[in-house]
Amino acid sequence: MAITFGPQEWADALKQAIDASQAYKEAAKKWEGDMYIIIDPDSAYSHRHIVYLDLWHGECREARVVEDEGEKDPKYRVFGPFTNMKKILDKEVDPVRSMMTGKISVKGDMVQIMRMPRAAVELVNCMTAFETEFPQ
Amino acid sequence: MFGYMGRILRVDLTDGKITEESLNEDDCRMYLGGSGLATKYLWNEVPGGADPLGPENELIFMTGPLTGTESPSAGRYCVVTKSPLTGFWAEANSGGSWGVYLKNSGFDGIIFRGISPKPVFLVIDDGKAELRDAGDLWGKGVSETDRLIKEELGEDFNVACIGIAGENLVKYAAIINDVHRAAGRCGVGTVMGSKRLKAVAAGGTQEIKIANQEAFSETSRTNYDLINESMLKMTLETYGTAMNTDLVNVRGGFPTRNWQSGVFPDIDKISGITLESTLLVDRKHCYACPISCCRVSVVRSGPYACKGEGPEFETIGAFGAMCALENLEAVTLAHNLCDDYGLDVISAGSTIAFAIECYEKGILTKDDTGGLELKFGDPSPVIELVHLVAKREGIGDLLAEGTRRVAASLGKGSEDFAMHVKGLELPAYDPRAAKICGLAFATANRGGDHMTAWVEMPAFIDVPILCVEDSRIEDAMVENPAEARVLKDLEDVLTVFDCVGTCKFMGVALSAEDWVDMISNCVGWEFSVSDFRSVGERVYNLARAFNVREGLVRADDTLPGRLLNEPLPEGAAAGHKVEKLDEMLDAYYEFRGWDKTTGRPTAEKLRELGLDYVIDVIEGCNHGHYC
Repeated sequence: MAITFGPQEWADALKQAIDASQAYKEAAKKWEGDMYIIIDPDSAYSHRHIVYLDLWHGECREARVVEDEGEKDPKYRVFGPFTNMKKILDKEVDPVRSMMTGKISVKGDMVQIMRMPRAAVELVNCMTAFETEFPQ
Repeated sequence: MFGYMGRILRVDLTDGKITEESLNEDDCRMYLGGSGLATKYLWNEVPGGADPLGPENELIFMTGPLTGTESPSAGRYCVVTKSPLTGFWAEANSGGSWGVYLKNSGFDGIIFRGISPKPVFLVIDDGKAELRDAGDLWGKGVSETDRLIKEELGEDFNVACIGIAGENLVKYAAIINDVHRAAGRCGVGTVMGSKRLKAVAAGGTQEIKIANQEAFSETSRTNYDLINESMLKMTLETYGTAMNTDLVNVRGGFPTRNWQSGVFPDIDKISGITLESTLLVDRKHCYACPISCCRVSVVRSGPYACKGEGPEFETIGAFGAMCALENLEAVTLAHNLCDDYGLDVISAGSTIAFAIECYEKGILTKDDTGGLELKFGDPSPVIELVHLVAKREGIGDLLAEGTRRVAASLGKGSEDFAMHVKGLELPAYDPRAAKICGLAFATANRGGDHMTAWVEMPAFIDVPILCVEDSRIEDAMVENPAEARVLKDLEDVLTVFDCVGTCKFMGVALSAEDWVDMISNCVGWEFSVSDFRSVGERVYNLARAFNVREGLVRADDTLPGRLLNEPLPEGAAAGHKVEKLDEMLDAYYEFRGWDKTTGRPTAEKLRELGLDYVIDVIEGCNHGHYC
């Protein structure tokens, strides 16, 4: 069943997918740090969404929708416009290529990402492990 | 000595005399090897004011203690000399595997001086060396030279040579090894050509002894694992250095139409991603490198048909965006021509882009170009100019002098958009879109250069360089004097990679701590993180002192007028120019311990670094004149 993108149900589904992923556990076993995934509005979609993920040593300790960006001060912020994020979730483009072409951006301690890029890739794989229905 | 072969070969090309001497261990501890050791020889043996193309200038090939070992990406050697392009210290280094062959021949390095009465090439093999006649090789391109030498000596030899550009004393000629790997910058190939030295063929099986072999192997394996898991490998292996094209363009800093813009509108046609999905047929790696960033590409038919390696990011920058060519096949051919002629792609593409702008502004005319119509975006004249430059024919004879001399010759305001620093053409990162890069270009010892500090990685693409404690640039659009410290740290630490003989990519993915264990276990003496930094700083200051002796003053640490006066017209950095260079220089000199008025290292700093022997010489220099 497709989960609608945006509300808490989508964050819950993502947490389940992360917890179920052996590949993520292995790739992120040394990963320490929480993050915001920020979907910015663009011409195709007018809302802003922020999902907070607390990731620690291959596990997701918390996943929830955040209304106020100032609520947390996570180690990473992954952000990009809706259309570019949707392409990743639809598996039309891979996340590393999206970062390379500036379609999505990452702010935070790049040292960990440089050393554990597979953790980031597996995290995206978790996002695409369940079907997402996007609002029109 | 561990990590070293312990022998330096000296070749006087004037009389053909070949001698050898032992490596001085104290010097190795002070300068490690590679560009550090070579710079020490250069300082001691080339008098101030020497003609770069005269017999007094030395051409020094040097490996480092890690070259040829199990260390990741340790196939590099460097060439140090006085540059005919800048008149200052020149260093160029190259990967592939020739550096390993040099070391296995039984020597750590070779020092050439003098000028041979006729073309020769040097053969070094298991501790023996001889000069051979190169009459039949003179006039041949790099690939043919490589083939003919291997036909004569056998496939167990590897060749570093010049092409026609070096023979013709094009001021930005490169030395090419492994047919496609270039010690490209500063005209080191020009110096080789001036000495009538066509090639050095190296072979042999001399063993490199390691102090603590077991621990060294273990550390190397650990570091390989770290690289293999890194983002660096993931991206560079897939897309090569050309992966940066999109990222620099999106920041509005990909120099386009000779730096008139920072946005190349047709980036999708020449990007690393496009290269990967069109012309790429294979990937290659340098000796012992886990990354394989080298592209093997083929243009199968048409006017730009070619087969070879590349293009790299800088070729796409210089021949693509700077000349406004949206034709990746033409850019690939230009790259391959530069390899075979032995030309530095950055200087060649940049000088041609400058010529096109001069033509469009009426400073150069059809009479000057021999009928060639130069136009941004037109590949045919660009390719033709590469041929003319290498052969020094027609307008190529002028362009072979490099952007600075062409501008001085043409005048008419062309100096304002002559994109060089100290005579060295600039790489494809516009400092107006990442301001710290302006300071880096202005101060780099070899002239306008990105690889000295490589601050473009954190500034343009938010990639940290792990071998320094903190390489973060908070806001690339802000000229923050406090961040001059980042530049200094990067320059010092990355200098060490040129000294030990490994690729600077390894400094992105591995920390100083990861490196010092490897170096200590290789050479057998304690080498700490603090030593890592101080060796780099020492070598950096010695190269600066060399430049001061050649007449460098603070005013030389500057940028082309276009970067200081013309705001970028479009893109993410629209409206930006470099505004606070003087303030940034003051801060940088302060961090460096250099005099703010003269730009010279102070006696106190030189003493601290153990460079006491330099003090009297540079304090006696008159401003702006060599001593």
